[in-house]
Amino acid sequence: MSSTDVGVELSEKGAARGSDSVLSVRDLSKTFPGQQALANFSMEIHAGEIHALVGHNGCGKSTLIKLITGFHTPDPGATAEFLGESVDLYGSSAHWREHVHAIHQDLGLIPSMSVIDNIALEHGYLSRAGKISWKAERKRVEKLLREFDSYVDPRELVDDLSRRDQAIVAIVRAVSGMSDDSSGLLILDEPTATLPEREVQVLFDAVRTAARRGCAVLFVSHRLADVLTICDRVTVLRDGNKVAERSVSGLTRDQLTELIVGDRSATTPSHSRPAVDRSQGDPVLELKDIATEQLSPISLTVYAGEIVGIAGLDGSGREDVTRVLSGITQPAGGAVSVGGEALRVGSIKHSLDAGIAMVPRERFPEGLVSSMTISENLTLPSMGSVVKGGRLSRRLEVDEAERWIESMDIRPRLPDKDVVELSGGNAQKVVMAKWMRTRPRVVLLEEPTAGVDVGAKRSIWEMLDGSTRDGAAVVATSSDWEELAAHCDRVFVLADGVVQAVLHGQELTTDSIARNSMGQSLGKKEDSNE
Amino acid sequence: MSSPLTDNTETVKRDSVDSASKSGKKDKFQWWQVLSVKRISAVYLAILLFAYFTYRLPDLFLRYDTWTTMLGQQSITIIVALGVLIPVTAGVFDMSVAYTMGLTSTVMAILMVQHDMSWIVAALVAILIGVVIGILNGLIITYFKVSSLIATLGTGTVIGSIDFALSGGSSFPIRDTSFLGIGIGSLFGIAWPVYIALALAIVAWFFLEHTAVGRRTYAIGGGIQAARLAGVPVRKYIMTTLVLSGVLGAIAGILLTARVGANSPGVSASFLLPGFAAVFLGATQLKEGRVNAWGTVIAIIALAIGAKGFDLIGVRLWIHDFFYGIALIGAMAMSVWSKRSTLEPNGAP
Repeated sequence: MSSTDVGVELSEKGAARGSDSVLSVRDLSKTFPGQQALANFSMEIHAGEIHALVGHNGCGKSTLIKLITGFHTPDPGATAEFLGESVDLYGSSAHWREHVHAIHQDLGLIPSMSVIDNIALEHGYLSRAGKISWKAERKRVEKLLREFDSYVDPRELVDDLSRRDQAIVAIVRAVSGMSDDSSGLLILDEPTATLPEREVQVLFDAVRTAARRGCAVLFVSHRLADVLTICDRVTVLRDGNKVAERSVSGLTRDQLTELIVGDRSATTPSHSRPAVDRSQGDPVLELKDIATEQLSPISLTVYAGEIVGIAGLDGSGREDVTRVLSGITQPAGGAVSVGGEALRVGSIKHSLDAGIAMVPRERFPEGLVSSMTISENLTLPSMGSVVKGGRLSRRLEVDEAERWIESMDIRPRLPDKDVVELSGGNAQKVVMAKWMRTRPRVVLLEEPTAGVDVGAKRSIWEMLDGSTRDGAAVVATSSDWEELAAHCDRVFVLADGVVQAVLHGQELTTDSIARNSMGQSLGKKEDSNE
Repeated sequence: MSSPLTDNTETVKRDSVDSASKSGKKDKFQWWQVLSVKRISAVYLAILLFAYFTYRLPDLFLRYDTWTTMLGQQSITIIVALGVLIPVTAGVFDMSVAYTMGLTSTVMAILMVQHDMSWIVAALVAILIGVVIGILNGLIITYFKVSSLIATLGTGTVIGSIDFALSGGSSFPIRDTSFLGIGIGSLFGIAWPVYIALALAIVAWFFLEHTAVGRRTYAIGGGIQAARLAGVPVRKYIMTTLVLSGVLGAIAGILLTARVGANSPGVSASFLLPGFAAVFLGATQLKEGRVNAWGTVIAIIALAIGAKGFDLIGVRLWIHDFFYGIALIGAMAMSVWSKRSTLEPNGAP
């Protein structure tokens, strides 16, 4: 990846409101075994500046945040300056990090405690002679909240606040922990992913207030609308490399999309599924107007032998489809039929009886029973074939487990191995085998190859191909778009709970998934949370 | 059908190479592994305690009736412990089982002494009470989502208070000799309740280890979400384990009444701790990290040898509670520790 435009752009001042450098890092790299997550990254962020950090899943955003907050240690050679002084990036408890505060999507507040307590936990209570001075403390917190346009009583429990006030409390807590003049770095990690549009605007105001007070804000978001609305500058990461840094003013949505997606035509693997006309098969799974809190009514039909992908960013409602079909989530409305028969939705048992198998996102605790062995997990969904005369036959069970271990190449090849001792790829193969054994009519998968090595990835998709040859219908949700583009017949792309596109054939590329997943336009996000 | 999706020739080749080493591994299981300290440490603990007390008290400790008495006493504890074990398998604690034993014992004694009821009818009433308590516990835990520890601590206390209200703290001696025969009568010098306890242990072992129902119960205890997604009717199973626990509590109550010849007010709590200690010490035996019936029985015997020995040495009565309390903490620490060494997911992200 080229980073030629970086040097040119660095000198540009952009719309930064202040000019004092808060944090500047140089030559920041991080290598994980077998993968460089971040390469020679440099950036400078100023007081009063709201700086966007954007890029795809796995582009290195979270690695960067973790390096700045001290969760990871960078590769040797990186240097940093904080408020003009050279600081240590390698010690996680360095003093300067007290002035760096990251707010993640879940806000990190304690719901069962009051606003005062939540804020004071960060910086300590105002006290006189060892006794907490509640009155002074309340006044102080109230004043801070007013500055951010929040009029909640500081004595209220965080749990009782609206989502918006909670976000403000989180920001107030962050800036109140910094030094008196609020010179510090505030990192917001996907702050808008779970907020309805109206509240997003209020959050923006709070972020602007923080910046006006002198904070440097690093704003991480998937939503281009956020970047274009609130940020002064933007840094774009792609595959661990900084591909651009520039001022936001004058930047169009299309230009920004282009920067994030890049020219992938050279690197995108070609579509590996043979282009077969799947519509010749019988419809196996039909969804009609299935809706949930996050998902606008969606209808889709999956034919026998077809692999359908569902793509979307976090918060797009991408997993609601699999959650509803497996019976975990009760939909707000709509109907499902499997093989022409209506399915009573909202019950795991009915879904299983209809032949729907679910390979969930979390291998533990959803996919596998952690205290059990490979063979015990394999037989759990259907034990009929290993029970003889009312007695569970260890021999039949081990024989069957050995057959699956061999055909899936699960290592180690020991039926009595505890599943917790397996690698991610082998554990996922056990989950797959456990469901393939039941010969499902519909296979649902969430992030089927997350944390799985390349070899196991291949055998997992081979296994799915095999089951489609037997007439199964497969629905896979994933944030790995290359994988969906390569293995699916059709991909539904969701943004904010709405289907943006249904891609197939030549249109089905990583690029087109990426473009469509970013949604349509500003302010279109539906206010479904209220 | 169960035949896996066969791959290609490459797989076949790998298989033939590997099956040799695999069968080699399987055959490596030797008879002496059965006796490894790791698998049956409690047996070795029992042997050590036995040797020590034999040395210290050669006259008292090696007497035949010391042993038959101890086994008779422990038979009730075994049944209570099985009542603890079955819900724990599904990840649910039943703290009320010992109080169920106390209440059913009192009810039996009152029905037989004050109402002249035949022991069979009284025993049926006792078992019915056990079932009702199990259902109540099950409803509180599965429908009102109260944590099982808290829920059954609550019901246990309530049951204990009802027990006291009924008996007023006094015991009612029973004269029905056919009933007393169950408690006192013996075969080959060993009291009937011992055989009953062992029979129940065999049934529990068979169901937990050798049936699909038992396997699903373990799955709930090991990973309730995965079990639910695999189609296990979790609520129904948890409910059933608690009903079984109530019934075992009632059986323990019936046998205790028969052994003592009366109800024994205030004795319930002293059965609870040994029961829990045995279940968790048992989890470090035979099947490492997994509670199981025979591990529980072995643990009870080992603990009883220790307690009996201290008794005979002449240490005061408080040593019982002291000993079992330490044993419970030690057993929990051991089972957590042994899990920690195996439970760290290796390559899981």
